[in-house]
Amino acid sequence: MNIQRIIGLAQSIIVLLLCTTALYSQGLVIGNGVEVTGNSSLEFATADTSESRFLESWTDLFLSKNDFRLGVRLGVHEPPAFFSNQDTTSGIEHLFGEYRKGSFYLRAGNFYSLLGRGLVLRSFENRTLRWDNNLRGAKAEINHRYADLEILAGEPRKARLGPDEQARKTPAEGIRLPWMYGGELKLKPSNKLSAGGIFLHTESQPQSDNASNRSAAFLEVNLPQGGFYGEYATTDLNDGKGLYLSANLFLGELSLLGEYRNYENIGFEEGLLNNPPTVFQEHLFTLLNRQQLIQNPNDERGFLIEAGYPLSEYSVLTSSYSRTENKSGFLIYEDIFAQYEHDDFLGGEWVWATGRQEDLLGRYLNWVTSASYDFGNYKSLKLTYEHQHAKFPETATFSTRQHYDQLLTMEVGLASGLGISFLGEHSTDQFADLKSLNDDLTSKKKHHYWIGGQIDATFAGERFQTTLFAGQRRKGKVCIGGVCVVKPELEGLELIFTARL
Amino acid sequence: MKSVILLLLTLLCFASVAQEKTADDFSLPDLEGNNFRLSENIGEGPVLINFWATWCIPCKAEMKKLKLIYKKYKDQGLKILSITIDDPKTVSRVRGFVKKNRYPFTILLDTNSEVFQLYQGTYPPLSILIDNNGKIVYRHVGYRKGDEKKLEKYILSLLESKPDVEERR
Repeated sequence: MNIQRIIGLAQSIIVLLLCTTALYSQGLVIGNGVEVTGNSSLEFATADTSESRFLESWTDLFLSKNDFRLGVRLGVHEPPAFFSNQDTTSGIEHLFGEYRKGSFYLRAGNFYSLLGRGLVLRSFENRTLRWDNNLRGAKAEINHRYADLEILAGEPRKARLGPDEQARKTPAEGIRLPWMYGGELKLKPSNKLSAGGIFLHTESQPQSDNASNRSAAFLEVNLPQGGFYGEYATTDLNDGKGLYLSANLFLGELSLLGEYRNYENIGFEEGLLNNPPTVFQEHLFTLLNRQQLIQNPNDERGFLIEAGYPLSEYSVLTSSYSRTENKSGFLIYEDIFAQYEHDDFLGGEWVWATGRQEDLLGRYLNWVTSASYDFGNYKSLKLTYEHQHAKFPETATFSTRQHYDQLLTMEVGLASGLGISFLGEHSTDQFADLKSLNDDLTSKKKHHYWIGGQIDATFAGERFQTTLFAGQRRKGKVCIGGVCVVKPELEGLELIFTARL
Repeated sequence: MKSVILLLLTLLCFASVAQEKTADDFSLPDLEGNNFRLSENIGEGPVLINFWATWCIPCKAEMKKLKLIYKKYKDQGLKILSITIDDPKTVSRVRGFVKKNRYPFTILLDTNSEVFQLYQGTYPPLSILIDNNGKIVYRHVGYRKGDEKKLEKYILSLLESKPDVEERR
């Protein structure tokens, strides 16, 4: 029996189970007090290029009784979004059983874990980034008033495949890396102070045959006037070491944040399994976000300072500065940012933001204005305008060049659970449309446009959520916490459909 | 194609299933380092769990409205558990963010999104309203202006039915 048939059979069973539940039971409780919950999400795009066509779905089903819960996830990726060169997969992706009683928690199967602030280990899922580096094994946690303990053992999933693995048939639950064992002990003598240690052993890696030991110590102080967190991590592989410090200070209404990091060879040889703090501003606007730095845990050091101040009940001012260098002192990324939020007397919400970013390629100056108004009866309007001016220094191939990008988004709320939005982007970047490049690497077009519309609707008591996008959307990097994915250009339709029990 | 049709059938079946479900218990640290357990806070009025993050634009707009709702109904027993799913990269910004925006409700830290996943969250914001018996009565993903009015109606209906619930107990 091939994998497609197994998937089809499993989904038929779920359909039958859910329909039976709906027809013959009260609520979601089936026989012997077993509760059934689940959700299913489908994302589909049809487009003019094969790299932007995809069909993916995730169906989670959970059975719980008293303190026990069983979970299974069926996935279909034909092909996965943003990784069209990757082989299609379908089948059982997650399977776990868990027991939770008071302060004790035990889970076997697929699980996620974060030790400290992620200098040693962070396994997590982020569907926007198509990131999932879950572990397959077991973990146990005990939470006591004065101490928390977590121990784990598992095989991590490789979240990004190498070029030689992309076209290979891989199992639905992904390629697994060698086992790792470890844990964290956190002592809490008071609610203002905690400290602890982390240890993690990883077995020999297939490429290098290197086993490694990682350890860390951390200290956290929480006071009404501020707080402090510090973590120092080491690994015996390549003499790696990492330091992360953060401090909050509250002076009346003014809140200040300072962060520092120095990471040297603390990345894993295979698979990104730790994800230490980035220490730069995480931008919320599309154009600012496109220029974010992709984190390198092997050679980065830098700091961030941020200040926030509510000028009144209706306005807040935020500003920040961050700088990242490599160990040779070479500037990798610099970001200056300021934002002012204001609610006007008509109930409108305004945001003005400006930022300057500099990376290894060039400099980017940004301006953002956003306004939203509520007209009652679920009718609303939100307009956001983003402008970016990019300037690149002379290189061996090109003389100094510059361009600007602008993005206009209009979101209209029509009724409860129904909204439409329009998106228009304009760029004078000669590389914005790679299809129209001449032999001399300059574009035939001076102006490039992308226009699209989107409908968002929820229905059936909010158990169905649908988003339908039609039109063009520009290729661009999307980053969350230093982990990025490049979404290819889309010219066509994209549908996201989610249902929940 | 067959599997897609089956999936769509699955989705249709989901819509016909009733929504009431017991809220899963969890324990999370608050901003002062104390552990907060959900089960110890059920039964004294409606509890609204709201998952958000400092990097989420609709979350900020929703929290502004939640602040007003909380001020209006807190004396009648409404509790708002505002759970941030900020990861290790942004969790340091949470205290300052809460301070500058003057959020009055309980803030909890779910740094690796484990409670978010327990409640089947995929993208924030996610709001879950729990009644006196620990049952989920309303669930809403995302935020668009006006959504808070629907939420307020559910909260009001729970506050109005509160004496009945106590009688049944």
